[in-house]
Amino acid sequence: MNYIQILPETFSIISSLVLLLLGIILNRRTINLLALGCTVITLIILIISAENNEIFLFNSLLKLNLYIRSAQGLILSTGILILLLLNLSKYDYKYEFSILILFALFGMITLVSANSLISFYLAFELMSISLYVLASFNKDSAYSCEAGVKYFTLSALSSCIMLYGMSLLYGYTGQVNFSELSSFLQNHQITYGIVFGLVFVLIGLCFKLAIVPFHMWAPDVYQGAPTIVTAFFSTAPKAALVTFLIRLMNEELVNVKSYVQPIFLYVSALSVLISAFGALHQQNLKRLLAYSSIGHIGFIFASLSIFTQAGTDSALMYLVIYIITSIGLFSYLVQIDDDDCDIANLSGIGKKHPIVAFHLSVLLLSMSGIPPLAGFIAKFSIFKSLINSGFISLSLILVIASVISCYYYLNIMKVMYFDKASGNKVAYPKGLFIITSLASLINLVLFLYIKDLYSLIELKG
Amino acid sequence: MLLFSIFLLPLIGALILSLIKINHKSIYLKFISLFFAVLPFLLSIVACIEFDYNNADFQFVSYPIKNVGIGIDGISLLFLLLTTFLFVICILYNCKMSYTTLKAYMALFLLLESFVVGFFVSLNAISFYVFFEAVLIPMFFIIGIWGGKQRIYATFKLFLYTLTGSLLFLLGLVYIYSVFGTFSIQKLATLVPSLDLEVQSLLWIAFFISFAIKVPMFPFHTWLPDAHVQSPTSGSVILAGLLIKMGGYGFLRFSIPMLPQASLYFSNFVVVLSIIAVIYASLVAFAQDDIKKLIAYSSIAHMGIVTAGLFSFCEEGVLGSIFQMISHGLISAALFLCVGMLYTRTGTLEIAKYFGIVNTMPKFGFMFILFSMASIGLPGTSGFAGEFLAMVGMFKSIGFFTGFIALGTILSAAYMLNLCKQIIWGVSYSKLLNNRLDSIEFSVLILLAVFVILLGFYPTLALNYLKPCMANLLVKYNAL
Repeated sequence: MNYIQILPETFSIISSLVLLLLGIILNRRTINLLALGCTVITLIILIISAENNEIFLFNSLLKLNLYIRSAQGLILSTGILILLLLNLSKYDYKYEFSILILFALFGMITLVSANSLISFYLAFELMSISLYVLASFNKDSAYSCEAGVKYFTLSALSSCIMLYGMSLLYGYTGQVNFSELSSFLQNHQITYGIVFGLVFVLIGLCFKLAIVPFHMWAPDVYQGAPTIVTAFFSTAPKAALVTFLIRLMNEELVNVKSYVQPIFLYVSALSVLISAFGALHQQNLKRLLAYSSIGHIGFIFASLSIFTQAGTDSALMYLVIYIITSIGLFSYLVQIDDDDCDIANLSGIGKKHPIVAFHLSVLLLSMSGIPPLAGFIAKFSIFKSLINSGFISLSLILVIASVISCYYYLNIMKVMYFDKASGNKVAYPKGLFIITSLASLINLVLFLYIKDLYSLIELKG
Repeated sequence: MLLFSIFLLPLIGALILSLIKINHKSIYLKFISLFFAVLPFLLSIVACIEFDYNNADFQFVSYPIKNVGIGIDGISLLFLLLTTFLFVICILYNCKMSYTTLKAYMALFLLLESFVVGFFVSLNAISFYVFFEAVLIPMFFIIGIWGGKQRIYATFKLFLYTLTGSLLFLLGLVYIYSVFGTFSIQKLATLVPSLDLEVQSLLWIAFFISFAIKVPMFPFHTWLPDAHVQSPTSGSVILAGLLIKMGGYGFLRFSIPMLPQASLYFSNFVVVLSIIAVIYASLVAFAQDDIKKLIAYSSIAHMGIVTAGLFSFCEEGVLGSIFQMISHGLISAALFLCVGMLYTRTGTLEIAKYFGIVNTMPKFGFMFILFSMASIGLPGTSGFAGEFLAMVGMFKSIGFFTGFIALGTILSAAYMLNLCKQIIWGVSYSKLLNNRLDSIEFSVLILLAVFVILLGFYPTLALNYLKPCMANLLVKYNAL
């Protein structure tokens, strides 16, 4: 009975296992295509089966409601876009590549619906282990191996810390279930043990989100991993973890805000600043995007830290726009060789491919938050919710960071338009071009719907 | 609808240009761009005729997007006219350019025109902010692609400087919104003055930094000489003619009507900065050996008079400042065009390389002298009326200290006359300069000269539109 209610998840895992078997007989391209198809079907099943009521399954190991279903929809759509990039690009990885992405996606959609520390940890590890392998998939490249090893060791350490935090939580409360944990925290005094446990769990989450001070792995892993994996890293896990964190803080562990809020505030301020300064002198685009993603998650954390409905809404809006913009940028990057993503590679495309350059600069300007593009709307709504709740100094820090970060986005545009063209010409597949241009068009026209967006936000807040 | 079509037409022009394939030498390219620049100008003349200048309220108000209004009062009408006119001049002058990328150049200018028009007609603080910042995007490319040797440094400096200021402005706006729940500029003008002085001061500082960078006022001025020197001629024209007026316009729409107590509190501070700007920039201009840099510094000095006049809070001062902005828009545009014409002939802007131009290019010499005199503020040119009124206003508010501003105008006479002496007069002449002005160049300068002299003799032409707005603008100051 329960398995029917989690039909999307069931379908997702069974189809990935079947594909794993089929991989022996079918060729790689077919598997990639099938993986894409299966994810699309999963998404369709999810949309059809989504119900508004809240249900608990498997002795409350999982929880399902409309928010969780929409978060899963977001993750699956991101996964579909990544698989689309894989299908359209020239890469010919071993067939396990797309199946690992499927496993990671399965981990993520279970993660957001987890309702107990146990199921959460299992889903988290399923996601992480798939990501370790994906990061080191280019086993002939030293960078990729470095990325995999680095990611694995540091990530394993943070998982240990998280597991320790969970054991503390369990030890001090005797509960593993979020709902029971929440009611325990409401009825009992919060001891240091619980706070430590909670903070350790947060550390594990922050590590995966690459938030300062747990960001060290991000630039190396982003640079070393195959570009499609980098695109995957910077979108899907972030979507899963941010939506999970929003759920955890707003639905489950409601009364620990006062302990978590200062952590969120400092972490977000540090992230935006470190990302702004760190990215300034990067020559490698993937490294640069790693730093920039740290900053964007910092922005999201800033609006999470106010714990209001308006804050979470603007965080979600920022997340969606960030994902669209990143996918647009990466769909250009995937056609450059994995270990050759220097900014200099873009030089002169302003003259050679003016339309591509136009779309890319729209995406870059949107990332730096220049009006009237979508990135501005996202940043604006974050500023609005911050100032509404009185966090003026944090918004000043965000402003400083966005000016500095504007420099390196402009720097990329400088290379595209003002520098002399480099000799190597790259073939740019039509499909990827369409994704880039769609992303940039969404960024361009979003402000026409600004009123609807605001009414959407204000209705909820 | 009229205003919206003025805003939309250049945008459509830019879109058409970016979509069609056309040779850069093609006459159609020039025709299309000129068409989409002239039509808004004609429409804004229509707006000017239909405008009821006894009415101080916003007119032609419409709402293209829900809650995002556009409309003009006397002040924005003049800026709208200046905008559409200067873009006609620029596009006309661009037709002479032989860039292979002329299509993109024209398209960016049309895009810029649309943004600037959108800025001046905005009645919603957010659309105001959006255009305030969006003008940077076309400007970034215009300087970065078609600029001089140091163009990348200059364009980054321009972009980042202005962005810093405007983000502070955004924070201020968001704060105001969180208190009053509206972005309508008309409503805010009546609501915001109720804030207490402490909050007003913080908001004022945020607004001031952003507008002062745009104007530019003394400590924030360093981006301007770089941007001007590196920018292509038409870019300088727009930069000096319109973009730096956006800062002054921002003071007129936000700082002065919305934050009266804080403005009054900080008025001496602004006046001191303006005096420093006038004297310091004039002295620096005197020491320049690059013509464009000299005119750029003179812009800073003239904008110093504007800010001092604005913060005198009496009718003459504010009228004079607005008039001075319009007139400086025309004069500096003309001077930068003149400089551009010299540069296309010789490829240098060093003052020492030029002498005796009047011998080979008499028409050019005449025009250059005319505009220099206008820049100094000779009676009979538009420069005079603005400076005179602004100083009358200053006498009423700061009295004796107006002398320092007056000193600045004397210095401006010194450096402009010196420049004329060096490059225009003289018996011997440089062989480089023996081709005369062609028809486009001459007509561009004549058009500007007509307006400069017209406004010099009949300043009431412009002042009639401004006067009714003054009462609204300054009513809070008369009460204080």
